[in-house]
Amino acid sequence: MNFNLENHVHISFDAISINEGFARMTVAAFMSDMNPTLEQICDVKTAVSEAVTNAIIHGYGAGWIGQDAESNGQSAENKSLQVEMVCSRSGNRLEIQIIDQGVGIENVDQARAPFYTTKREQERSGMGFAFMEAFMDELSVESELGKGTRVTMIKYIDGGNEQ
Amino acid sequence: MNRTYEIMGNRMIAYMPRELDHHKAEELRRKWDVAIEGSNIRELIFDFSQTEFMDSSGIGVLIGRTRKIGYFGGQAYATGLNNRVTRLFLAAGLNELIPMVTLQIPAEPSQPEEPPKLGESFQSGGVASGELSQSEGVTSGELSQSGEAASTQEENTPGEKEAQHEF
Repeated sequence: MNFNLENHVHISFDAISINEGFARMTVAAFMSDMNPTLEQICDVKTAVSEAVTNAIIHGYGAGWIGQDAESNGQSAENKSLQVEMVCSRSGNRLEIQIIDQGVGIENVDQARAPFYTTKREQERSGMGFAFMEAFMDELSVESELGKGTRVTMIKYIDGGNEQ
Repeated sequence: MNRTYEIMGNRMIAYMPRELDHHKAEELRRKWDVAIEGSNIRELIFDFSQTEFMDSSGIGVLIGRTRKIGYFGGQAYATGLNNRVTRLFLAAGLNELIPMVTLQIPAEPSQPEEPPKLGESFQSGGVASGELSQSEGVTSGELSQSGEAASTQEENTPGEKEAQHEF
């Protein structure tokens, strides 16, 4: 019976694409004792994946880091670029912040519109914010040009697996 | 599960990973593009049967490959989608671009010659004698059912039917 449990986790990781999976797994682990349904875990994982991918690709323009030699230079250059993830739980309320110190978003309303993307040539679908909005209960985006972006997402984990 | 694709005649099956995110999408895009450009592919089938997770980066890579094969006069299809992936497909309207189909590949490669139902350019040879049937406008629930139906059908091949009935 830890219904009113408070818990906070703050993680900072390199802005490289392999950490998108790390962020998803971490948030799934963090929320696991809130007795979520599989659906709820999937929703949050998707939203976190979108936000972290945005921070890496758009915030830092860091693109993809593979295991092949061609991207080694980029990897070294990205060492100082960090994405922060703050997970907070208060009872059944889950709040996740994804923070970058990147370029910032000029027009947040435009960025949030479905199918809008500034990187069409990289085959970005423009569905990132739309999915965050669809899969979480609340979404807010604070951004300042040249300073960075903070995405705050809230989901209420109730009606989960009672046990 | 290290195979990322398989080419059979003019058909290419792209095996989607367990988690299709930006990281994985980018890696696969490079491999698939080499294959698509190097072969005369007319049918591209995205096989999602192993996929548990997909985000908007996955959608991007699907649209990109579908356009690419479209330039060569080909068509892309998706098969084996779980409810989750189906939901994303419908949310992004992807099902209009990439029809969701049920793909049956016979367990035994040496089945009596059955003409392929879809795609005139499809060449049947060996393992490639699969049947692609289109399930249009299905909801997520129906889709998963049709997937299950397909696998049961596969088990109940005519020869085995009798044997399965004795309990």
